[in-house]
Amino acid sequence: MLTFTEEILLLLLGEEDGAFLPVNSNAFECALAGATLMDLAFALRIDTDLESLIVLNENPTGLSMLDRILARIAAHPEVMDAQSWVRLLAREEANTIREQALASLVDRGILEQRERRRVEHYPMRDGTAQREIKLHIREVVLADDIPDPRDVVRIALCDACSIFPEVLSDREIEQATPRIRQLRIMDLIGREVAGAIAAIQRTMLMAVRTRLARFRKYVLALAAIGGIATLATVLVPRIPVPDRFGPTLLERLWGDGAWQEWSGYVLLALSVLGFAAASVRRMRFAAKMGDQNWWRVMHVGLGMSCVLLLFVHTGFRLGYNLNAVLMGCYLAALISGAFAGVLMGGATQLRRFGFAQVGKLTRLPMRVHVIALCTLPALLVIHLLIVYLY
Amino acid sequence: MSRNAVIATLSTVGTLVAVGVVVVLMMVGGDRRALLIGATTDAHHQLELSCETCHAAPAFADPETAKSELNKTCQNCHEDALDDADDSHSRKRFRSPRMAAYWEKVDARYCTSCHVEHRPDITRASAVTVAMDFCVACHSEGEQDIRTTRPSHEGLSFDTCAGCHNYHDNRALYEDFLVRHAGQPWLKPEPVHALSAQYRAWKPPEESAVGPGGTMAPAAALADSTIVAHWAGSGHAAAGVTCASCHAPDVADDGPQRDVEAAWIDAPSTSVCRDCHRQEVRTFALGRHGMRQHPELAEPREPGQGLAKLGLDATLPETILASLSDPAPPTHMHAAEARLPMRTDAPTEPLNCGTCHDSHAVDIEHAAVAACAACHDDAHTQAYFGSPHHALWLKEQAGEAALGTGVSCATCHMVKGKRRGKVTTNHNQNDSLRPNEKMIRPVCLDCHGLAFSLDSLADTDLVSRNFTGRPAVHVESIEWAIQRAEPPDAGR
Amino acid sequence: MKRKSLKRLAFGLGAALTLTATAADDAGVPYPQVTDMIYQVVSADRSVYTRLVVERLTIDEEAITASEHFEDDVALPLPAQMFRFGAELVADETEDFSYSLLSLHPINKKNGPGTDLEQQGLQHALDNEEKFYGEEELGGQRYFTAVYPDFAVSEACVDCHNDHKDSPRTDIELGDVMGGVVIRIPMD
Repeated sequence: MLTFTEEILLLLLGEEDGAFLPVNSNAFECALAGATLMDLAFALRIDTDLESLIVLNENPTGLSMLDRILARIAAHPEVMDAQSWVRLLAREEANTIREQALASLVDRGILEQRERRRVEHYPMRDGTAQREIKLHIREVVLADDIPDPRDVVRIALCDACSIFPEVLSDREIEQATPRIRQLRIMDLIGREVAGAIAAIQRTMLMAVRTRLARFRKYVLALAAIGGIATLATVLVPRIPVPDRFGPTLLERLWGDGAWQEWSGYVLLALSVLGFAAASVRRMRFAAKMGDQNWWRVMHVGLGMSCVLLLFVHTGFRLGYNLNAVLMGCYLAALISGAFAGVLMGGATQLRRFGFAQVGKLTRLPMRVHVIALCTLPALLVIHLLIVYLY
Repeated sequence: MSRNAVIATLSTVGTLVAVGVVVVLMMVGGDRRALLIGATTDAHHQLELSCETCHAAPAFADPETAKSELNKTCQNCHEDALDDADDSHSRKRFRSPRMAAYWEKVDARYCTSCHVEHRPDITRASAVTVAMDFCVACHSEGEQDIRTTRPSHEGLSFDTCAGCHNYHDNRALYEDFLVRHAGQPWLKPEPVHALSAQYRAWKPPEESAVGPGGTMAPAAALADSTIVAHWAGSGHAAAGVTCASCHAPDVADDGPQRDVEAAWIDAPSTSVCRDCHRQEVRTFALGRHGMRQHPELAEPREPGQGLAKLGLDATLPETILASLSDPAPPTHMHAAEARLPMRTDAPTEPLNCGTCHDSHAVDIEHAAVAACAACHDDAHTQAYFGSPHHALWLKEQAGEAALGTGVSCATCHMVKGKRRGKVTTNHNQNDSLRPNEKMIRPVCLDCHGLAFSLDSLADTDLVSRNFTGRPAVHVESIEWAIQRAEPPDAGR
Repeated sequence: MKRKSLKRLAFGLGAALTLTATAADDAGVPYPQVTDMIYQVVSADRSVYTRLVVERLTIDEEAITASEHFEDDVALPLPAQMFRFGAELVADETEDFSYSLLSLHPINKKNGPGTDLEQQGLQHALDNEEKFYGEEELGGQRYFTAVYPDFAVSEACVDCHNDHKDSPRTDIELGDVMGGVVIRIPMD
């Protein structure tokens, strides 16, 4: 039987290319940590109540990935509650858990590991396992039966990672949403193991949601401001060049070579920083430098300040020829980024209004964002060459 | 490879390829029009393939060098005209260090302070790219404050300056000139454009008419009798210009026949016209019709030199070098490339002497009106037919009025000039335009008073009606000049 | 067209003077001595033009007039104009030195003092009838500036300046200081 950790990983792999679906990495890491704790709880190695998570039995489970975490919990000098453990493990162990679970899936012959060893790339060798899990989840969600405790955990994990769109059709999601909600909060107290599970499940969900909610607020606000500013400045008529002679601010901004040079380089620097914030967020050392979500907020904030600088540099005049292409691509990157940011930041609210497939919706603007960004280096270098050669 | 890695690789490779292509375009050769940062202004758009005509500074030159190199290339084509216009704000004057205080206001040492190319969004009339009240920069304070030195100008705002004054050319506006031409009637008693009259009255001396050798040509060339008839009735025949003069320019006019046949060129180039009509061909290349033959245009780049500059081996096979070279810049203008309204049935062949002057009939009357209207299709051109000037032209053509009384397109736009006793036609159509007041002295004043001329040219509606009617605008320059002039001939 | 041939003439003058200035610099000739030499040349040329061309042809021979609008009037350029055209052409050819003819009472305002030192130098020339040396900074560059008094040497000068409608001074007499020749050399 697969562990929860393995199941959740399997669900998150694309069927065709073996690459991970774009999921909020924070939720993903908390889910992995939570899933591991669930696995330990179901193996009767740990127990939890609202204040503490304690080890019941230090005997190895036989699965090295679970045993390592069990050993860590047992060796920990002080007793912590489940929420703290989810956070700690999400931060420090998520990557190891992921890699070990993937290795285990490869060993089981479900996944294949390609020659060029990139962790993200695990094509399905045997698709049956994934299909069966998906089918099972569908059945649980769409049926009216009382689910068994393992299914409740699966539902909670899927919901935390927003992978229902991968499993259900739009109509089914709409139909199943009330039940998902109900299953998630199902009162399992009174069953033998369930107390532990319910507590972990609840704290895991809480951990994911409260932490995200805080950042989502910022992401939503910054992205919305950036997006509105971009659209507004693109759509409203251009500020005309002043028809009165004199070194006015606007004339300097849009006419004086030195000013243009400055605003251009500041814009470039902000763009590079924004790109760096997005890339660093995915790197391991970044996790040590602070919460990953701060990097995202920074990325969105930098994107928003780019809108401002772009206005300073160009007055949102679209330019001509290759400059117009550059401007077009840059605007596409800004607008798609802002749109994705709004969807991501406002996911909770949008779900409440019935847009269950927010995760899927975010994918399109993200793709546009990436493709538009890819064209920028070439266009930018050409822009600079033209400026300095002529 | 993960999707991210694929994207990153594609982007990197794409960037390198795109940058490589652009560097080759910029430093070695190729069509660079895609790199233009904005539509080029009228007239300059004819030179878009030849960036080096204007951009002569070395790559990555510092801004100061780039600016002064750019200025030099402006002067290559425009300095003579500015000198002739007695430029009121000449660059020379502002280069003196004693003018340093003005450099901060409008740096008149550089053309690009007011004329920036490729910026259609801020380009005003006459390719000016600063706000049109720019006079305010220097003439609103101290000794130069025009509102205190000229009481008549006291209440005027600076956006009205350009209504009368021009920054460079004020030959028809200085006070003494205004005073001298005050009080003239709108139409002179004997309205004749003197140089046109002289020009049209000129006949080649009878003894120069072509003798028996005139039609020495290959038999095939003489087959078309209309061509021969056109030539026989032309000024060329009367002036002794034979078939061979143009079609076999390297052979003596009087034969022998077999030499003429051996050296025969079916379609001789404009250079044979230049042999006799130097002034006309020279000025043609200064105007918008012929500026693609301007002597100062840059040659296409040598790809080998560019490669060497990049430190690359220039010993590439010919075919590769050829594929890297600049597209050959067009040597002539075509009606289809014009930005003014043109007729849909305008001639499609390259614009050269023969476009307006039929090669054999060389009919200057045709060239003066019909040839213009064969291409131009704007309101001003359309309104010419039926205008008072046109009526006068028809009368002169019919022999009912004296020579020089008719006004053709060429009278105003291809202005006659006199040099060393000889009247020639200035084929730079731009010489009497931009501003149109440049036309007043060499053309209008022969028939009209100055006040009427100033008013008429300032009335844009009247201009588009081709001067059918009276001016609805009044320019007060003369009245103001007279107020100041006590006695009227002071300063002489 | 007339301007073209003028340009050729003045170019010769400019080249000669450039040579003088460069040679002086190499030999370490002091600035005052260089400006004195330039003044000698430009002032001598104008005197020759005034006496041998303008006065002779307009007054003695009455063959032609001299006029401010010499092109329109088919006349000779005034000596002051001839002087200024030369100065403009020199400015066009070199930045090694420049010169101009200025006055505290100019007919054309643009020929009035433009810098503090010009004002001071012209006043000194007017008051003391002697030359003036100074240094000033213009457009970020330091200059050695000399001002030489310019005297009313002929009736033609006096009459025209006294009669011109734009002249701020109408009481000039022969021998008066009418203005000054200002010569500038950038210092390095």
